[in-house]
Amino acid sequence: MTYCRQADLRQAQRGGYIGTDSGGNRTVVSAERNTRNWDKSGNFELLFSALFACVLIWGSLMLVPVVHAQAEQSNPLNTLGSGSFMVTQAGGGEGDRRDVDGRYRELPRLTADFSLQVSGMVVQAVVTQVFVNDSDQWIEGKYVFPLPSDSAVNGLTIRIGERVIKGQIKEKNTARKMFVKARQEGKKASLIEQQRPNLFVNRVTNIAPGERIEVVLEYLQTLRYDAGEFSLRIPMTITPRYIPGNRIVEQSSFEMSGAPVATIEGKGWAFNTDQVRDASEITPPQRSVAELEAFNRRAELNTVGIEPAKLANVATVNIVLTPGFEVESLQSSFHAITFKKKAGASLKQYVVTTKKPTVAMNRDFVLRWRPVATQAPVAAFFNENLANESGDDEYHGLLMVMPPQQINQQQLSARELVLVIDTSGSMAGTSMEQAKQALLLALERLTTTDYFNVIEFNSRAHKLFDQSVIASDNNVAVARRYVNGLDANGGTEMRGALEAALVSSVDDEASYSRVRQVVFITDGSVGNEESLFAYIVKHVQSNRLFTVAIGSAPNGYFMKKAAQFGRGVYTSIGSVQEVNSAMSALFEKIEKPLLTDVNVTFHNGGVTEFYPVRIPDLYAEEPLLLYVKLAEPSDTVTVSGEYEGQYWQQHVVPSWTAEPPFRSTPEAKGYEGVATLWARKKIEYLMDEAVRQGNRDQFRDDIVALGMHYSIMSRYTSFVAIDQTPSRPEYESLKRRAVANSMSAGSKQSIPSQAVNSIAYPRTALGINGQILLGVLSLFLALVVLCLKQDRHVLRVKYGKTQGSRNTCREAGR
Amino acid sequence: MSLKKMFVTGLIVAGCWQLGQAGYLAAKAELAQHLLNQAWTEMKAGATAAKPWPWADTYPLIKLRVGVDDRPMIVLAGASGRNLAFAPAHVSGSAQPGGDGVSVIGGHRDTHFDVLQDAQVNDAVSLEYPDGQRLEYRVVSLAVVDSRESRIALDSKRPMLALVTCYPFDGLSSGGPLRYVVMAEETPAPVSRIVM
Repeated sequence: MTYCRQADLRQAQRGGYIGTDSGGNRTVVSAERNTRNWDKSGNFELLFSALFACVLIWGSLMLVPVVHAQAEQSNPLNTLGSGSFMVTQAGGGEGDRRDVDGRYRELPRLTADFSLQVSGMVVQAVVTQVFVNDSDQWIEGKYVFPLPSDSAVNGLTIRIGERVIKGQIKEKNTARKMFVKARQEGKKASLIEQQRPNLFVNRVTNIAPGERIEVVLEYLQTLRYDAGEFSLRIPMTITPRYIPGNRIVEQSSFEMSGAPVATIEGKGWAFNTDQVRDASEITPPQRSVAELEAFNRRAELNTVGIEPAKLANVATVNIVLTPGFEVESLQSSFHAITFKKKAGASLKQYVVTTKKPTVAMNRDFVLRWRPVATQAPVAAFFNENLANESGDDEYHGLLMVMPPQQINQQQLSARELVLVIDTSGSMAGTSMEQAKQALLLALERLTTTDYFNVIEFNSRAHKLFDQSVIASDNNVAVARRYVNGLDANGGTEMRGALEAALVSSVDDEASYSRVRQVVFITDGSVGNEESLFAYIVKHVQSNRLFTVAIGSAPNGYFMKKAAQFGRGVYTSIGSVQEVNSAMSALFEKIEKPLLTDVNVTFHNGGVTEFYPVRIPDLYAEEPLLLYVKLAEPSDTVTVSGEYEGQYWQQHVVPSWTAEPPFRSTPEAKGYEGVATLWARKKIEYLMDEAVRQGNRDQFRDDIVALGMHYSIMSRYTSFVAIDQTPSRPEYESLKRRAVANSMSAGSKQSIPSQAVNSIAYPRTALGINGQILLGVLSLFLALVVLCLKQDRHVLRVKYGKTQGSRNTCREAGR
Repeated sequence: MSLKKMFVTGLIVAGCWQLGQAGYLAAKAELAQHLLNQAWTEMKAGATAAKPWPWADTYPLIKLRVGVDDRPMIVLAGASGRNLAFAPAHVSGSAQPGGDGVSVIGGHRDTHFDVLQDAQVNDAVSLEYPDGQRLEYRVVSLAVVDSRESRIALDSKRPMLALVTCYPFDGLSSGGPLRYVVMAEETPAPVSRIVM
């Protein structure tokens, strides 16, 4: 209720004034007007009130942060109680040592250069990791980095200025001892260890203040050929791995029996647990993409025209591609690239680089190319001959054979599709969107005869239906609603999900006759891969497990091996745009018949050893890749199997004199690297067998022997390079620092903090107050404007009745 | 004039929409507690992990009472955004309620956990399991923290509860960085329970 005082009125008479006080509950309406300019001033009023409404709404929105700011000012943190009792400061560890201008203090900076030669199916890669010590102290840098999961690391060199030090392959513990000794003596040294087939740790010690050390790694890898497309993936960073299990109190993993306790702690953000015994080794600090970008922007500004090597966590990529056929399309999934044909070469050769000189190391680099349809290879053979100790040639070969193409449209047998989606914290962000899209697409593909179920898992697994249900419209609609409501949160207890997916809860005849296909959508960011593989081996039975890798930096090792042990295939999705094509390709593959009971025969004498020993069933457009070592060259190789109930076979005549387009040494016979890849495949086979037999270190000696002979890294063999002359004076102390990795692009996961058993706070506000305030304000304003209209009407009538009475004061407002 | 009409209609629609939203959220939170109470009764009757509604991916974990005679709340398992709209929820990475270590329960400050603003040190907090067993807690500290800069440490030799909600209680928007944390420590079982 409001009223007019004389003073208000006078003011109002002058301006034609509508007002509310700060409380918004007093309105004064003046009517000092004559009838002639009434309409005009009505418009003014409308305009004015509209303007006012805008200001009010805008103001109320602005109020929100103000309220927050006040709250933060008037309530300095932890004043109400003993906050430090249960709260730990996040970060505060290695990842957060920044001084005021944003430079990383005491942390080595890292940049990397990837230089790849692709010829035939073989990739020869040279990775140069550049460590720069910006601090004024002697430091040891530790860098946890990913490589392709099937890579065979076979060379290490370190370069310090002009000097070049060649690395050697050593048994793991021997290498460690050598490294620790060199560190104590003040010599520069680099030690590279394999934690997982796709995860390595590089330690570079005794880097002088301001110094720059280059660590050059070489690795070999086989291309992926799938659905008519060749692809190559260079992992750039890692998604923080979930570490399940209970913390274990142990001696440092670096401690050696009898040796002095010269340890290099893992310094990761996680403790070692009973399920992940090297957790502290594989959990490096990580930095948000934005933070690194800010740092790099500043660095570029500071060093205009000097050298670009002031940046952190950026990479250059350079690929020389000799496909061996006409290329139809050549593209990169996530990066802008340029390529040009190399002139003068006898074979078609392309030089591929990224458009920008450097790329941020926050997502995998993927290059894909396709042969023109007429030249799509159906079989290929690459050889390399190596002399063994006794001087005889050993023949190594890489054989690629495509399974038969589909002839008749096959009647699909009844199937049960179990869709599993990872909703753990590491999926937060774009990964979750991709996963949901993939799942919705899978639901769309169901036919009304299929059975299906949806399982989500994070800290625990949850089945949508207690048991699989028929894919009726109603059930699918329920599933769709369920999927849309999912969000990413919590841990990655994958074992529970595997159990829910692989172990059927019903045993009736009908469920046995169905083919059970499990599609597992995840980023694979777990640290306990091997125990999961063991679980899959034990429980897969007649089920088939297909993995779909999600995100910018998925764990390729997990994806690939889980699918292998689950007798399925894997695919990857790195962006929302890829969801459709990748999922369609996967479903086409799993809906088509398989080539089963595959058998390979070599028609030659002597010992023949090939890997994989257990040849998997072949899915449509998935080639058989066979790594073979023969005592004498074979004339014909026969691949046979059963396809759609019929016997199928194909003969391949390998050529043992094929010459690659180029070679680095004149003595090399054939395609360089094939022999090494064979050895790498053999190691993989031995590791798989160890998983199957449940004895992790069963083939340790065999693997060490292979690693030493072919000089490749494995779980038990490491590379170490040591400078001969000490450089750090004895009085200078050495600081150990971890190099931070980038968080993967699009991730909304909170950056893992140091090793403290802690969790982040949940989000606990709905914003109801704000909504009520806005609602009430809007309605109030509407009322005000409405009242104005009535006023005018009333006034007009009054004017008509009481001519001469010029001033009217009325109540208005609420 | 039609401009004015449109303007007024727009304002009314916007106002009703906002109020409706707020009402919907509040009603959802209120209604869910009723459905949850039904599931709770089922669980008391022996069902394990009864779903409060058919498509739910969670189940009632415990019943929580803050203060002496306040209305009890059902706490759900898993503090996802979706669960929190229905009820306070237990953060799945933390200790199980009643177990050793810190058990974290989050709730919306504007619905269920508005009761926390009245909590005082030494207030009683109790939780009840579906099997009827009860545990008594006592509030030991109240704190406002910045969620961007700190995390909840989970290590504790005793059973502890951390009740977390957003701060300030009368804040207008969601998604602010501040949290209000009520820590409660288990008190030795009351004599009556031992006698029973």
